[in-house]
Order: sequence, then C-alpha cells, then structure tokens
Amino acid sequence: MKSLAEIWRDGNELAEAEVNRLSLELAQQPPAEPAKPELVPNRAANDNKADVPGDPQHLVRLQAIQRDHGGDIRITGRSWTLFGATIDGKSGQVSIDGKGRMFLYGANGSFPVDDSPRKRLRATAFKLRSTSEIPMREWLFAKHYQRKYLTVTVAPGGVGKTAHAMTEALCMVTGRPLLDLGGLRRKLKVWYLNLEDPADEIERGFGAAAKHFSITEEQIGDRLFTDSGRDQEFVIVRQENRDFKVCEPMVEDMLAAIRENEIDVVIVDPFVSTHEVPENDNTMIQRVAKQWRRIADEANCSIELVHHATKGNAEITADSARGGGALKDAARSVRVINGMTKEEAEKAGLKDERGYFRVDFGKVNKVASAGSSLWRRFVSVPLMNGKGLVKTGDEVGVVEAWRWPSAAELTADVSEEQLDAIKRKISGLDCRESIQSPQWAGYQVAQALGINVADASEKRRVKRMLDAWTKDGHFTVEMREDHKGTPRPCLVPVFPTSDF
Amino acid sequence: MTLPLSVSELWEDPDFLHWEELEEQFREPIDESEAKFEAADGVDEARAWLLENDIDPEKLPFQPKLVSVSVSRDFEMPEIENPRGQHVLAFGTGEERNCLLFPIIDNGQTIDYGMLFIEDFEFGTVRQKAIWLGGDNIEGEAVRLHVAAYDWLKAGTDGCVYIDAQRRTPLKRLQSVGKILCNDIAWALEVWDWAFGADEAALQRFEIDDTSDNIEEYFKAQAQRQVISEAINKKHPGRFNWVAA
Repeated sequence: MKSLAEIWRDGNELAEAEVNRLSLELAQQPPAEPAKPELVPNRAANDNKADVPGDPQHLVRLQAIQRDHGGDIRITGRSWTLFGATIDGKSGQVSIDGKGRMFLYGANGSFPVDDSPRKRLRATAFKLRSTSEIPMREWLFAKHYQRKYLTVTVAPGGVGKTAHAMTEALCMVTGRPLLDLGGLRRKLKVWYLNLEDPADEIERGFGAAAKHFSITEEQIGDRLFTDSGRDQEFVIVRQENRDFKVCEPMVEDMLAAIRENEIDVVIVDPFVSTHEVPENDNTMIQRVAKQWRRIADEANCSIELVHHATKGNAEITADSARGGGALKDAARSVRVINGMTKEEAEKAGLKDERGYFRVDFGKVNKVASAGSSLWRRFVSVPLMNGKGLVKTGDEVGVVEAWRWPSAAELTADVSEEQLDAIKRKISGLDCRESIQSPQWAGYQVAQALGINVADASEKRRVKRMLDAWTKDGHFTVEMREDHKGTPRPCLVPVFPTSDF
Repeated sequence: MTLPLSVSELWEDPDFLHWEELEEQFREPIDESEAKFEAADGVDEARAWLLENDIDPEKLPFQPKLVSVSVSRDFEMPEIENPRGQHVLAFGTGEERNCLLFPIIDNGQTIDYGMLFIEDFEFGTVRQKAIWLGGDNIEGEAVRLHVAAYDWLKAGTDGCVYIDAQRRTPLKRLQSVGKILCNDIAWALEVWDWAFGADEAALQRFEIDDTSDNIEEYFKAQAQRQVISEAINKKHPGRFNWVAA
C-alpha cells in the first residue's frame, strides 16, 4: 500500500524523464514526409487568427471574373468584393458567400454567378483513315429520320402533314410498309407530340389510320407514345419579360422521358408551338433549333419537326418554311409537301387534284438527291363512332401511298383491236413523231379513240400513250424525207411478223 | 416524495434536487421494480454463478437473482395505457439467464436495482437513479473505492463503486471519508481530480495498492501522449484543439 502523494511525486518525475527522452528521440528522427506546401501563400495556419483579411482563394476567383466582366476589387470588412462588374447585362457587385457560392448583387436582385472554368476551344487534327472504319450514318426510316439529328418537314396548311406524320409514325412502330418508304431495319419507338389538337383528336387520327391499314394493338405494342400540347407544356424557349429563356426543366424532363422509354423518333407537330420567340428572328430560331438538336444528340434519337410553310400558291421548297431560315439550316434533312396541281391531276388522268400531294426532299445534306417525288393521297375513313341511325360517325382522313399512273395504265383502256386499227391507219401515212407538227401521229390516235385533242391535257395524254406504245415496240421512229426533201422523224408502226 | 439526503448532501450542484425531482417522475416507480424483482426466481442459479465466479453468496447482505432481461418499448405494449416512449425491462426466467439482479440500498432504502450482465460484466441499473454501490459505506475512517461492480460483490459489498456513467460531481461525497483505498492508479487520480479539485494536499487521503508495473505504465503513457500532442500542435498549430496532458 502506497500513498498517492508519493506515487504522484515519483510518477511525475518518471513522466518528465520520459517526455525528455521521447522529445529527444523525436528531434533526432528525420521528418517522415516533407511538409505539404500551402495552397495559397500567406494563408494563415490558424483561420481564427488570420493576418490577411479576406480569403485569398476568393480573391483569385473574383480576379477571374474581373478579367471577363470588368469592375474593381476591394476589401469590404473581412471579404473581397468586385464592384461595378457587368454580367449578362446586369451590373452590380460580386461577392462570395460562406459556402463559396458567387453572387451578383444588382439593382434587380441577386443572381448566382457561374465561375466554373471555361472549356477551351481547340482545333482537332484530322486523321485520314480507311472509309470502312468510319461508322455508318444511322438512318432510321425513309432516308429522312436519322438518329442524333434534327429533321424538318415543311408543308402548307391543310395539305395533310399531320395525317402524313401519323401514318409515318405507324410505319415505324409496326414495321409494316404502309407507305412506299424503305430503310426500316427494326420496329422503332415513336413519340408523337401534337401541340395543336386535343388528345381525342390524336386518337381519332391514329384510330382511323389503324382501321384503314388493319393495324392491330399487338402490332403497335408499347412502341407508340402520343401526347397533346393541350395537356402538357412542350415550350422549349419561353419569353420572360424581355428575355427569352430556355426551359431547362422541360428539356431535362424530355430527355428523361425519351431515355426512360428508349424512344427512337420524336415527331413534333407543329414546330411553331414549341417556342415563344419571334418567328422571323433567325438568332432566336437558331437557339430553339439548337435545343431540339441537343435533345436529339443527348437522348440519341431523331427529332422530326413539322413546320408550316409561308402563305401563297407558289411551289413549296425548303426556303418556303415560315420564319427564320435558321431552322432549315440546322436540320439534316428537310422535306417539303406540295399539294397536287390541276395540271398534274390532268396528267395523271385524275378528275380532281384535291386530296393528293407529293413529298420531296427540299434539302438533302450529304446524300444525292432522291430525284422523283413520293406521292400520297388522302382517303376518308369512317370511324363508325356515331350514334343513332347514321352510324358512320366521324370521317377522318388517312394518308396512304399513291403511285403516279404508269404508261401501261394509260394504254390499258385501249383494246388490241383498237391499237391494230390505229397502227394500220398510221402505216398508210407519214405521221410525224413531233407533237408540234400538223402531221403528228397523235391526231390519228385521237381520231380513232374519240379523244378531244383541243384540250391540252388530253393532248399530253395521247402523247404519253404513243410514248408507251413506242417503248413497247408497237411503233418505231424512222427518218423520212418530207416534200421538201428534209429528213423528219416519223412514227412507223411495227406489226408482228405473223401478220405478213 | 422525500429523497435520501445522503445521495446529494455533499453534491454541490445546485440544480441536482431539481433534476432529481424532474427525472423521478419519468422513472419506473420503485414499487413496480420491487414487485418485478420479487416475482422473478433464479436465486439458486445466482448462487451457483456467484460460487463459480469466486463470490461468496453468504457475505452478501441481499439475495441476487440470475434472470434474463428483455427490453420492450412501452408504446408497443398493449397493457400500458399511457405510453411515454420509455424502455420497459422484463425479467424472464427462461433458459438463457444473462443478468445478475440485486437491490441497491442507499441510506437504508432500496432505491434501485443493479444489473450485472454476466457475459461481459457490464453494469447498469433498472431505474438509473443509483449513483453509488455501497454508498452507505462512504463515511468514517476509510473506504475501499472499487473500479467495477464485480470487485465490490467479490469483496462482499465492502467499500463502494461509483456507477453513474454520466456525471462526476457526486464523487465529492468521498470528501467525507478520511482515507480512500483504491487498486487502480488511473481511477484514483481521476477521482482525486473530481472529488478534491486536484488539491495536492488531498493526495494524502489516497492509499493505492496497484502494482508498480501498472503505475509505471500509466505515467509512461501519459508522457507519451504529452509528447505526441505537443509534436502535432507544433506541426499544425491551431489545427487540433488538443491539450497536452
């Protein structure tokens, strides 16, 4: 048993000796690792006893802002403030709060300032490699829809762009060749956004198309998404007072929805409802188009914008798109829709041109022009949703493919005997091939068939019939001298060998 | 409600009585604790365990019981009408008896029940009221200050053990004894600090029977701690709020 006083005294002596010994040992040891250099020179080791007022790191950040936006840095109290800076047209003082966030305090309120370092612009050296190594363009459908790109279809009002977009959507969704378009490798997921019509009108459109093409629910599966602009907002650039702002939440939502449902194609009808900017302002339209292109790129899908054309009766081209040309320029592929003209209807032998239209590639970047037009026609489909005695209910137009009548179809009405008679009639005369000649072979044809060639369209029809027969080998062209001795191309009938 | 004065009479905390009154109403009433203790069996099992662990059951002034303790929330118990969000202990007598239960007497009254868990020798009380084991022994010429409840039981409840885990000021009750005997140098110095304000004159009151190895080790560890904290403060001044021992 020992007294604590004694132990305390001895213990303290022991502890003191031990401290001396350990301190000496520690002093003789080489430093374990070099001391880390201070991040900022002159930074006080103890934050509570800072000799330098203001955080030097804040000063560095403010100096970076000052370089771009001007102003004057001064110390206010214990922190640095940049006075008189002008950022995005707003002037005021910039300071950094306790959490390191930078704010601009101006007359209109405080605004957060983004001082994250800018990505530097750089030039990338081009390296030529084998063309087989270059990844293929990812066309989705009809040499128009392309993944990661923006495409535009321009059409005048009432010609059938909405019904056309619906039929195209069903083509992609079902994988069936409903229109004479190819290039579909697999069934695609399509999101059709109609920003003008209510949801039930969209349903009517798709319902009628499905009825017309006998599309079942299984064929559509879970690949078609439709939404109406009346139920949800799809405005991508909005006007706020005098400013125009990109609706980031909407863009984010859209990206999330596309990614979540793995959508391949988004059809937006019409483009004009997706923004609130002046249509003729190219800069603003470019901003809107850029956002759509961003969605296409980030969500890895194709965005098709259906756009109105300017008013007027002239032929629609890519330049007829209403408003600023920036949209057309931003798009990878621009299609135009033109209604059939009276002349075209006559040529095609139709009684009425209404309900027919053609789709042309108005601007095709980086691919040879498609050449011929694709013709479409409206068919009226009764929905049979009526009540009472007349049960047909609504009639909805559905777009289907229509082929320009071929030459064979033109001559199909003429019987073998009639053709034989025409040939015998022409064989006795020196009938000219040229339509301008008074001795044109067509007049004999018209006479034989009772066609009124005073009508220009009928005259052209006869010309096409003669062309078709010539092509089929019923006639041949021979050079014969006229009464002046000048050789002229004449149409000479060819009879089957057995006739001789 | 009258409190046994000896618990707090030397305690200088002026708010102690106030807190004591406040806390008392949230504690399980002593009658209930007593009834539960009486209802539990396990005397024979406790006896066997005590003998096995070198404690003479004959020397103990009470009969401990070996029980199994289970804890439930009062709001999960349908029989409790007005739950207060408290733990309710139940003393089972099944196969797995894990706790030695015994009354804690202060100033001649049973104020609490002590629970010594036999798996890890951890100690707790049922009502969190008791501050001392053997508090009545803190008077007269000398008292043995044990470090743990087991030592106190082994000594046949001779001496005292400080069992309050949260407070230190009630250690001042030791000022009323002439000599304090302790077998742990670290605990003795802490008690000296708290009970006597590290008054060097009070060192005379302590008699230590710890081994010299332990004592040496204690002071060496203190020295080492001092050197380390000094070195760290030198390297990173003001960065760590460490006080050199």
